This record gives sequence, structure tokens and C-alpha cells, in this order.
Amino acid sequence: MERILQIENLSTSFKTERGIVKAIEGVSFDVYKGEILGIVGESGCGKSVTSQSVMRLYDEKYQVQYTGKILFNGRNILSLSEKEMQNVRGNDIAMVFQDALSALNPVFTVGHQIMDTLKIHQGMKKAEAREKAVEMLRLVGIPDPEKRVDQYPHELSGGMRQRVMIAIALCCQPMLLIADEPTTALDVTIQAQIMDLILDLNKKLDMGVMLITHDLSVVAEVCSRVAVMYLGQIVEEAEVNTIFDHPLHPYTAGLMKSVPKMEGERDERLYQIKGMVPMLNQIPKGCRFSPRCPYATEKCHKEMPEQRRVSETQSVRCFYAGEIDY
Amino acid sequence: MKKYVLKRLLAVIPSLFVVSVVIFMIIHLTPGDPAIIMLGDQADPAAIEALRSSLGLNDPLPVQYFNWLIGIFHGDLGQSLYSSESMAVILKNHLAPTFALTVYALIIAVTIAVPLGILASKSRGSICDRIISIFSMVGISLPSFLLGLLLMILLAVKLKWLPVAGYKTIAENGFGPFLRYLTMPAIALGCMEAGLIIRMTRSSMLEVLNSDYIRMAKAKGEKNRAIILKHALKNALIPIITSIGQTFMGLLSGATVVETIFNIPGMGKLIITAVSQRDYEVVQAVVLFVSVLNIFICLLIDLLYGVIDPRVRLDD
Repeated sequence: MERILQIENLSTSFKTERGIVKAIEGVSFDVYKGEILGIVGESGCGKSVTSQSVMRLYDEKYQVQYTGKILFNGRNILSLSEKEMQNVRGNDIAMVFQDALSALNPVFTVGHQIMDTLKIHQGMKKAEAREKAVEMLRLVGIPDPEKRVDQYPHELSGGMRQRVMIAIALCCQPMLLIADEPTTALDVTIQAQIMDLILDLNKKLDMGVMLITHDLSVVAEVCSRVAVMYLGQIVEEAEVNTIFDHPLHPYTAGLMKSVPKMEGERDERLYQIKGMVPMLNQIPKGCRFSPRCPYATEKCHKEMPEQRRVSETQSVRCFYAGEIDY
Repeated sequence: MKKYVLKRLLAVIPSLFVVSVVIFMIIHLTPGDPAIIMLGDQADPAAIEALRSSLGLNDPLPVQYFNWLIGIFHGDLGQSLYSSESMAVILKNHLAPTFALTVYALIIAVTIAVPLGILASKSRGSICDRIISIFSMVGISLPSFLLGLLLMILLAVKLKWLPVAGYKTIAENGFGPFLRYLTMPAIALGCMEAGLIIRMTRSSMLEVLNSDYIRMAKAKGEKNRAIILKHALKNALIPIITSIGQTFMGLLSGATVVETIFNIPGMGKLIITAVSQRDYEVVQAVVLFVSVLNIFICLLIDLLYGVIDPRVRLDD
């Protein structure tokens, strides 16, 4: 399979009032053409930072510093100039944000916002762009697109707004789509529709998708591979079945155990991983998961395990991977 | 949008009513009898009584109010005690300089303030931002008359670029001199108001620049320029326009001190003279006129909100 995105040892640090905080550290993973890679983890584990780093959306002058490599089609995105980057954003790599209501500009019509992208990257004239915008709205399943194209975001329902976001992201046929929790703000039936849409378009357009979510059921349904993040690092990466059936990292195993099951007693308490995710400025020494890990040893508290490959398709960041039976 | 405009227009009516009642009451609540004031203390009681009935002062208040209102709709704004010119002519003559000065000052304020505010928000925390902050603080805290006097010393006395004071009409002297005479007072007022508008623009832009749709615009591949000037500014405009509108209203009625320093025969000068001479009808006419003007500026701002932000013109 053709590899479109290759992230090597990516670290993103933010300048804050309390000094420099590393939001993600040593992150490496790949995305292949036509696949859906799920990135899962708790809130604040660095999923969104990873995705926005790929787009280089943070203010590099005052806010953020990147190290490592992000190779997109073999070209290191981090060494591109801002101008070159503008040609990549929205054109080669596109993004769908979590909350469509706040991510769509309230004072422009949805048509206008789709046409923006077409004008920037494809040099379309107004009439042509408008036609394409209507076509895109139809593609993402919005009924009566000729009317909707002239409406403002607040006039659409939540599901429709998310469809509009997807239309904006897809109108230049990107090679990579980053979907940052695209269904979190929606109710369950709409969630399913939106996921189906993404899945469908992923097949139709043969693009790579990086799906960021904390919803494991979504992962099980649509992703081919999964990367699990904890506190700014990837702790395990594997194919979706492997992750669910044979997790190697204690954190992944904990996540899987905490999914509610249909069988069993109802009053049974759900499994929970003990402790809390520490703040980014209180990162533990050694393995970052060690304070919460039931299997942690002396070594785990002192040394940081490297991410190592255990098979063709699976890598894990744990000293005892494969030795523990969950 | 039609419904929104109609609603705004209808909302003007009660404001006009309240304003007219308050202004009407000014004369009737002021101590003393207008007839006595007009004829003097020593006047013959019969003459006073005659004047009272000819002015309609013996009618009940609502009737007087009604007659007054009808007079206004017929263009009768009253008669000055000291000038034989009609009230409309007096107002027109004094409004023209004030209005010109206000618009000129506003243009200066907005051209300085909006770009500086945007620049400050874009480079938040930088030296540039700090310099702009200091400039706006100075603008806000420096009284405009002081700035006016300093400008006079520099531009008129030392450099002799501009006339010290005075006012020339376009009709008599042409546009060039008219502008030259207004430039210094306009700078003095404009810099003061710019301080406020800079702060408003900066904070409003900062709020918008942090929003998701700005990140989205960036993710679409928009150039920085387009992000700031199109996606952000349109959203940040409502507070900016509000402060520009307030500035406009403030300048119309509050340029008095600067008008006095620069010897401009504007509304400020008119009202000060009228008050000191107890020329009540003039005071009443000026206050009425300025209030109505302000109500219509508010209306204009409201309508602009609707043009800028589609959520404002929601029909509920």
C-alpha cells in the first residue's frame, strides 16, 4: 500500500506562562492511501494537537515549536514555507473539526465557505465555484442543495452543518482527510449517518483518513488500524482487530475493559483505570503510564520504554508487552 | 431583513416620544415664567398676561405639548430671543461646522484606529502591540483641548502649516481653506476617539482570532491577510461599529471645548451661548435636534448590525 503520511518522532511544544510544555512527544505513525486510521485516547492526551500539527495550524511565531518530521508524500511538511503550506492546507490535506457550529463562520453563507476553498486552490470563478458547491452539498447528502447553499450556518441543523464541513473538506479531493472527533457534538443517529458518509467517501475517493475519536465503538466499526495515545505519546499501534482482541499495552487493555458490554449483569460496575491523567507539567519520570499501571515495576518508574515493533503490524511502548495476560 | 428593518424603524417611535416629552418639559420645569423672563421683571402685568396667552402658556400642559409638537412638524422650532433669524437657519448655520468637524474627526479616528487595532491583535504581546497600547492609552487620557493647544503651538505657531483657529465655509472660500481650518481640531478630536476605537478593535479581534472558524479558515488554506481582513474582521465589526457610533454621537454633542478653543461657530458654541443667555427656545431646539439625530444614528447602527451579521436579523 502507498504510504501518504509518515510521522517520525514528532514533538509539539507550547510556550505558556509557566514555561514550555510538551503536548506531544516522540509520536510516530503512518497513514496509507485509502485506509482509515483511528487515533484514540482520553481527553487531553494530544490527539487534537497531533492532527493540528500535521496541518501546522498553531501560531508558530508566538505559540508553538515542532521537532521531528512529518512526511507527506515524501516531503517534510515542517520544512515548508508558510506560503507552500497554504497550498497544502485544504487542498492536499483537509480537516473536519469537532463542532461544526463554531467551526463554520457565522457571517458567511455555507455556499460562500465552500466556494472559498475552490477559489483558493482551483482558481475557480464565482459561478463555477457555486455550481461545484451545490454539487458538493448534494454529494454529502444535503437535501435541496440549491436552497441550502445560500443559507447561513445557524439556519442548518447540527447534522447538516457537519455535512457542510465535510463538503468543505472534500471539495478539492484531498489525499488525506483529518477528522477531529467529527461526531462528538451530534446525537447518535446523526453520528451513524456522518460516519457512514465518511466511510462511503473514503471508499469513493480513495483518500487516507485520520480519524480522531474517543469513541471505541466508532473505531471498531470504521477503522482499519488504530493508534492509542496516552499523555502525548503513542503507546500502541496495531490493526483494529488486534487492538480489540490482543492489546499489548496495559493502557489499551484498560480502555478495552472499560467499554460497556451488552452481556453480563446490569448492575456490574464498569471497569475503570485507576488514577487520573496527570497535568502536562507533571509528567511522571519513566513510563508515563506507570503511576496508573497495575503491572508497573521499579524499571517502569525509572526508565521510559521506547516504542518497539512486535510484529509486522503492531508496535507498543511497554517493557513487558506480550508477557502480561490481560 | 425587511422585517428587521421595519421592527427597528417602529422602535424609533417610542424613543422619539420620550425624548420630545422630556425636552418639552425642560422649559416648563425651569423656574420662572418665560413671559416674565422675556419681558423683564419690571414689565406691566397686563403685558405679561397678554404674552402668556399669546404663547399659549395658559393652556393645560398636554394641549401645550400637542401644539408644540404640531409646530415642530410644520417646521416651527420656536424663536430665539436674541436673533431675528428663524430657528431652522440658526440650527443649519451651526450644525454645518460641527457636522463637518465630526465627520472629519471620525474619518481620522477610524483610519488610525481600525488598522492599528487589527495590527495590535495580530501581534499580541509584541513590542508593536505595546506601542499601540501606549498610543491608545495616551489618546484616551489626554484631554482633547490639551492636544488641541499642543497642536496649535506646533503646527500653527512654530511650523505655520495650518491656521491657528477659525472656520471658513465651503460656499465662501472653497474646499481647500475649509479643510485647512478644520484639520487641527479634527486631529485633536480624532486622536482622542482613536484611543477608544483601538482598544475596542483589538479586544474584539482577539476574541474572534481565537475562535474555531478562524482555525478552520486557516485549515482551508486561506492566506493570513484574508483570514484577518475577511473572516475575522467581519465578525469583529459589531463592537467596533458600536464604538464608532458612540464616538459619532459623542462628537456631535461633545466637541464643545474644542470648538471653543478653535473658535468654530458650531453647535457647542450655540448651546453655550444660548444657555448663558437663558435663550430657552434655542436650547430646546438644539437639544431636540441633537437627540433626534442621535436616535437616527442608533437606528443606522442597528441596521448595520443586520447587514453584517445574519443572526441579528433573525425573525423571531
